[in-house]
Amino acid sequence: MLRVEDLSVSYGSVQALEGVTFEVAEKGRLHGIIGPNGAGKSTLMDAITGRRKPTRGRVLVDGEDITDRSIAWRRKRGMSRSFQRTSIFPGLTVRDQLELVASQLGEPDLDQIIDAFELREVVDEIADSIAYGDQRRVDIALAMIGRPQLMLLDEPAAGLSTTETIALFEHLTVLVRQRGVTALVVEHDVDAVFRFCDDITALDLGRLLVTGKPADVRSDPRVISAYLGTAA
Amino acid sequence: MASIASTPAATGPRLADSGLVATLARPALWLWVVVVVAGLFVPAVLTSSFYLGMLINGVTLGIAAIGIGFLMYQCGLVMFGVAAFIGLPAYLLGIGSMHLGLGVTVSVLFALVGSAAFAAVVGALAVRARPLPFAMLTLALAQMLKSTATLQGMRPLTGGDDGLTMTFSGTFFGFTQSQLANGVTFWPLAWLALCGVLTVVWLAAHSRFGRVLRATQANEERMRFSGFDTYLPRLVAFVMASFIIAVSGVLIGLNSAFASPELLDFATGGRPLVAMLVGGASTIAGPLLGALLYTWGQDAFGATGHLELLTGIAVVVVIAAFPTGASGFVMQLARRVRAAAGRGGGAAR
Amino acid sequence: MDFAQIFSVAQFANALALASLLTILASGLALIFGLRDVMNFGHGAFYMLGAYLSYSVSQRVSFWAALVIVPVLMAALGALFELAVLRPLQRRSHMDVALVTFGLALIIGPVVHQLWGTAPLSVEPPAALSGSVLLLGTQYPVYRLFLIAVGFGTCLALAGWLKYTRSGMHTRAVSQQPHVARMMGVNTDRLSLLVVCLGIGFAGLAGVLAGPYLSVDPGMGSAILISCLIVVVVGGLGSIGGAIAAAFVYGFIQVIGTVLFPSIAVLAPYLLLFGVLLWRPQGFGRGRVA
Repeated sequence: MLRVEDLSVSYGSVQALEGVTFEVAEKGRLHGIIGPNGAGKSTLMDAITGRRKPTRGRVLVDGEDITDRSIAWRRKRGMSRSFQRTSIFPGLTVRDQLELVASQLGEPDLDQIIDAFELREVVDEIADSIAYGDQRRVDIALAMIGRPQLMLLDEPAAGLSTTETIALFEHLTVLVRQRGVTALVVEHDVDAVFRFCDDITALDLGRLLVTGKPADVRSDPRVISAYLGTAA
Repeated sequence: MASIASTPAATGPRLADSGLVATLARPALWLWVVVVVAGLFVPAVLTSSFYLGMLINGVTLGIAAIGIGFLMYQCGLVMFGVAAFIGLPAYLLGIGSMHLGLGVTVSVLFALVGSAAFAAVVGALAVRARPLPFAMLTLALAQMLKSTATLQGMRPLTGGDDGLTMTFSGTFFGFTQSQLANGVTFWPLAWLALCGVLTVVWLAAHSRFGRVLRATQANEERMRFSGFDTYLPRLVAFVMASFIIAVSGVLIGLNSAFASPELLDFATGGRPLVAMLVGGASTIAGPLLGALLYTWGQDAFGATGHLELLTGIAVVVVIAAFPTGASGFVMQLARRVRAAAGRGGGAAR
Repeated sequence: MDFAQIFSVAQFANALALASLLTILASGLALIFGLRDVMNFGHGAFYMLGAYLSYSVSQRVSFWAALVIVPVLMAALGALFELAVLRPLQRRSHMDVALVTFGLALIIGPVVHQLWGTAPLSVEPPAALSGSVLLLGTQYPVYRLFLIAVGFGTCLALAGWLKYTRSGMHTRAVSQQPHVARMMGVNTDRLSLLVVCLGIGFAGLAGVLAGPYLSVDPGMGSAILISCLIVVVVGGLGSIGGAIAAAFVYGFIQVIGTVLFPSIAVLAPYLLLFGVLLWRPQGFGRGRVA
């Protein structure tokens, strides 16, 4: 479904990603991406979604090379993204921004998304006046519109409590199973990742350490040593 | 960071309310029609040719101010070089009439289309820039046009420093040149142009196009990540705004039958900018209010010779203390009154 | 076409003279933008004010006195500008501040008209600098050589200040990383004041120098503002070295171009501006003051 080949990104002299290759073969999977700070997780997100141009390598979706495609093109073709730092439309109401994006991408069941993300109560509030947790869910809901086949979520649980994080991941699991969406999730909360994800890719210092099932990744010595000293 | 050029937290009407039938059924529409028709008879009431002339000046200035107000409110781009799109159509009108042998109606078309085409070409580059470089670009554009118009080599075409006097052949929708120059007969033209511009801007602002522009201004990256092209709508808005400003330039040309380099000078040509700031761009008609205030001020203070000084002070004061301008101030007041009357606040637009 | 006339030493010197004036003016603008992140649309107006002040001082005392007094006066005005205008509006967007400086230009213009009238004035160069001198075969005005010398000297002095003094080093640091610099103990408020005074003082100096070279008229502010903006943008916003280089390019295009292709010469700076913005359309981040 998604295949990343030899992906490398550098900012000047800094090599943020180096030769990363992995694959998410099946649809309807929750695929976690972990790594200590500076591992290049967000850069990987940026490269896959088109926010950053890779200096080397390719991104393939369903066998098609999309490396040179624009961000808007990718979104219209079904690749969506949420942001680590909440990126919504502060001056619009929740409903208005969801409807605006829905008008562009087509969304047969906006109400389901509103309910699924528990936004019914704040749906007519101006976005910058609602709680942080609600704003995060708006951020993700925006990425959910238009039946994307591939969602990339960058630290969706950032700033949320453990309970909220669990709830969020449970939501994601339901959506992934129900809608057959493939979701790549960058997340710092390693426990949640190990608990909910079907597969995990671990990065460190811009390189791929390992890709595999949670149990395998958890016990991989490279992953353990990368996290030594980091509060996991 | 709050800025005079960024859109406040106003949302347009809901998607469901925008249908044509729903619009036709609105009483506000009929009220508007009444106002438009009634306005045609202003000269019957305002018999002083001096004050009528002043009103006409206010209206033509207002049209240009509405144009830049539209661009600023929807896109956050401030056209410092508004003079470019006032002077260019005026000159094109003159060139069409005097050198290309076009009848006045065709010349007007030539001026408007030519200015729009020019806007499209310039805009293709200019709207890529961030607001501040955009402002500088438009300023440079106005100056460039002025330098070009006053070149020795262009004298035969533009009249150089002396400007271009025009003689119109034929009539413009039945108006002869002398009728165009006369305030009483010119008024319907100016008034209808103003109403047309207000209608177009209102429609654009309340359409999906307006929503897309405002959302892009709020978070351009998210718009791209939501599948929107963020470049083309801005370009269209720029061409639209330039067209509106060009209408103002054409009116000036028709009324005065003269195109001068002063029109392209960014200081004198900066009057619509001042009008917009003073009136406030957060409402569609705010810039018009500012233009009328400015024109009135021109009369009230012109004699003292302090007009420009006061203009400058007004600009500084408005930005520092009243970013939403006179109309914004009035709206805030109205909102407070309504809130106090227990009916809750209204939307700003 | 007389090539000897075009590529003569005189034309070369003319280009240098114009470039020198622009250098002084553009450096001031670049400094203020580089450090304060403010695009001063009133820079041309300050320049004009300097020119008019120098006219009055030259009349009463002498040109040399004007050369010293006016930049100092303008620097004081710059202090007022920083404290009364820029500092209170620090938190506002670039656009708002730019609009205010634009408004300032609208204020300064009429003030000048009121005090000095609207007719062009002429400022005579002092006796020591008037007349011409034999320069490599042609007679060349002494004053322009003086202008070139002052321009050159200012560049050197500025470069020296930036490179070798504490405040100059701080200026470079703050223009690149304001927060880090502040944490390191750089007093950005005092530095801002210094830089703005310097920038406006330069504008005044340019005004004094321009008197005997160009005419002193009410439109001089607007005319030079665009040239200045173009030079600063093309040179890379905030980069003084860039502004200086761009000023020279501009000077040459103007002078040589006017002889060869008068029509193109007028348009060339604008095409240059559009070209630069086309190449870097995202507009400019803060340039380094370097």
